[in-house]
Amino acid sequence: MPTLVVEVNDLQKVYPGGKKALKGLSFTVREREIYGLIGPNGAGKTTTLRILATILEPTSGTARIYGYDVKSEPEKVRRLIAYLPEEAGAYKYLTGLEFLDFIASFYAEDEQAKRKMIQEAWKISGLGIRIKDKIKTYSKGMLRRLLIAKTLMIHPKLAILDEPTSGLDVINSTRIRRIIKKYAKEYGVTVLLSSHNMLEVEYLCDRVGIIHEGRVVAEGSPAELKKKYEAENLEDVFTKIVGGEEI
Amino acid sequence: MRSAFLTMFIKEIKSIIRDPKILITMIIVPIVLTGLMYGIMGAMTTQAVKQAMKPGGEILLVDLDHGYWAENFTNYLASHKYTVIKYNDIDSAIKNYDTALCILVIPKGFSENLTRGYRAYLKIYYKIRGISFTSMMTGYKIYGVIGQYSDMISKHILEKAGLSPEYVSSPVNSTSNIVIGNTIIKNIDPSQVTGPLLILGLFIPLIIGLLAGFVAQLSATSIAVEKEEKMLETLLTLPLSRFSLIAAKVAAAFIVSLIGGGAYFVIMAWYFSQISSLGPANNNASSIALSALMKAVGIQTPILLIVAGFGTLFLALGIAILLAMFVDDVRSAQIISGYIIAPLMLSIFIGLFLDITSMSPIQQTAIAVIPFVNLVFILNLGLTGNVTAQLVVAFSSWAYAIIVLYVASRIIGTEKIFTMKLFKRKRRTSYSFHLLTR
Repeated sequence: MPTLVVEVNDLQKVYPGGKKALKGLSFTVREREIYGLIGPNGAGKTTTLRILATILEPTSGTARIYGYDVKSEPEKVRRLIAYLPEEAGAYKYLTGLEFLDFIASFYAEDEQAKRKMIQEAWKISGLGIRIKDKIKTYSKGMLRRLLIAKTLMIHPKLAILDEPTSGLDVINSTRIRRIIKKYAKEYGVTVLLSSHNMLEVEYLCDRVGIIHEGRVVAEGSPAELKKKYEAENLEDVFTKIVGGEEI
Repeated sequence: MRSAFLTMFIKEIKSIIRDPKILITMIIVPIVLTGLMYGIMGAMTTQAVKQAMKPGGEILLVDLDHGYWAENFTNYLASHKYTVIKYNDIDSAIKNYDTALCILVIPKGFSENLTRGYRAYLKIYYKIRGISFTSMMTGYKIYGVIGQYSDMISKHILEKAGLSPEYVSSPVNSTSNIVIGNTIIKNIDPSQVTGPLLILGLFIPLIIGLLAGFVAQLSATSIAVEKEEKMLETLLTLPLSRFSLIAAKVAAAFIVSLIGGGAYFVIMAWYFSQISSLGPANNNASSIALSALMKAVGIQTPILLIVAGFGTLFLALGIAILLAMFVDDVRSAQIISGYIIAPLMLSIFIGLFLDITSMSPIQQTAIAVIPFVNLVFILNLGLTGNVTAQLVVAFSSWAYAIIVLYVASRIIGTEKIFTMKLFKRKRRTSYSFHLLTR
């Protein structure tokens, strides 16, 4: 029986003002798995990831990471996860190196471990000597690579990535996908990601959960889903489940 | 390994030092402008007073009297370094009146009046060249010279009549003695005591008010920077306690504010020393007054003033943090911190005009719980011996600060920091909603 890294059970989230974002969401993520949450805009993907990252609190239901409840034991959860928000930025008046040092200082047990983390992040980011430049001089792609690097360098038990390649060009997107895949395998990092890009999800994910209106409406490996819904690719699966307008 | 607090603190200091939005607009520019303003004001005032006190200048004289005293007065002016340029009539004097101090007209009968023992009059034409402190001070010089000449004549007349000029000029006189607490300072001009006391009572609360404004603006900005640079989400998921997060921001804002406040203090102290050096110096009287004041208000007064001052600083800081949590960007944070600074400074000024010494002890104690303004009362409460009310000031300041900081830490510990918005910019409204509900 594989260890469950993420256990989400009947999760509900109602925002102030009464907007229901999640309506009984349930899914699990296994150890060393790359799990993708896909769904249309407003389906509840980001809300789910934010609850798991301990930023938002669930209205009801439970969400556990390695058995720790995100609501009652957030400090323990935070030591296990690394979260990359979709709209993440970085302190633009720090250099890339200083930013990595800042993040690594929260996780490394000693100076040597910290240096190792930073060296690894430097390599992951592929920023070369630009790592010593101020972040304000970075392009969008460079910034995203730096953020991916800071997320993976700490070897988290669970990496939560919200739209990891959002807004990036093909070259940068491909590079980031490769990094995620390589590091997840190499270091046994469990990854939970959300994406709109079905190709990305098909390439990266071992299993996929399709969210619609705050619930998981289908779950399985990309191959299983394609077979079940008699579709050529995940995009077709998605359209068949969620529905789409005929042109 | 470095603690989470220290890591956050170092980052905060780096951000403050490197971010031009903070360093230049909030620290360097205000300090330089204040320094310049006080520097110019100090230099101009000193220059104007020196100019006014320096004898000499050009006077256009129209002598219509041609008598003994008219000549005597003209010679008196010349002996006091005034250049006298004579004109036969007022019209031609006015025509040529350019840079001279004034036109002085000695009317017909001037000498005769003085000789007969009547009061004599001079006419002065004084041109307003501009509304500057220097020009006005310089213009008044002529009245000083006429006064000196008048005194000299009356002294001469009285001595001739065998009377004491001091007796005749002020047959009734007085000497002032100041009582502060149980100390009596004898033969002292009240202004020599009230001046330093006012500076003490005003200066310290004003500096604390300035510091509080500084701290409020910096801490509000440092919270807003996290949102503007889209680091808040990441920060909230790091193994960093919310208390350490707030504490690091508070500590960094506090240290930078102390440095900034120190700079203001130096500028203001320099300005006041410049101004006070212009008046008659009586350092001995001032120091006696200060030590008597300290004796009268008790040793607890300066201690409680410092305690209450720090409480007020933390209160301003807590309010700023609390409000800054609900804004999205630095600009809004700076606007919102302005909402704190303006009433804060206003309340300190209102406090200066309230005479609480005539109130009953119960009324004094009741008014001592009003935050910010109560700082100004501590000295007066010490003078009336109401130590209970002084303690109320100190404790209430800290109580408010602790309550506000507690509420702030509770909010930052929940999702409210993420979901609540006080000010939504129109162009961002739909975006924010989108972010929260996806």
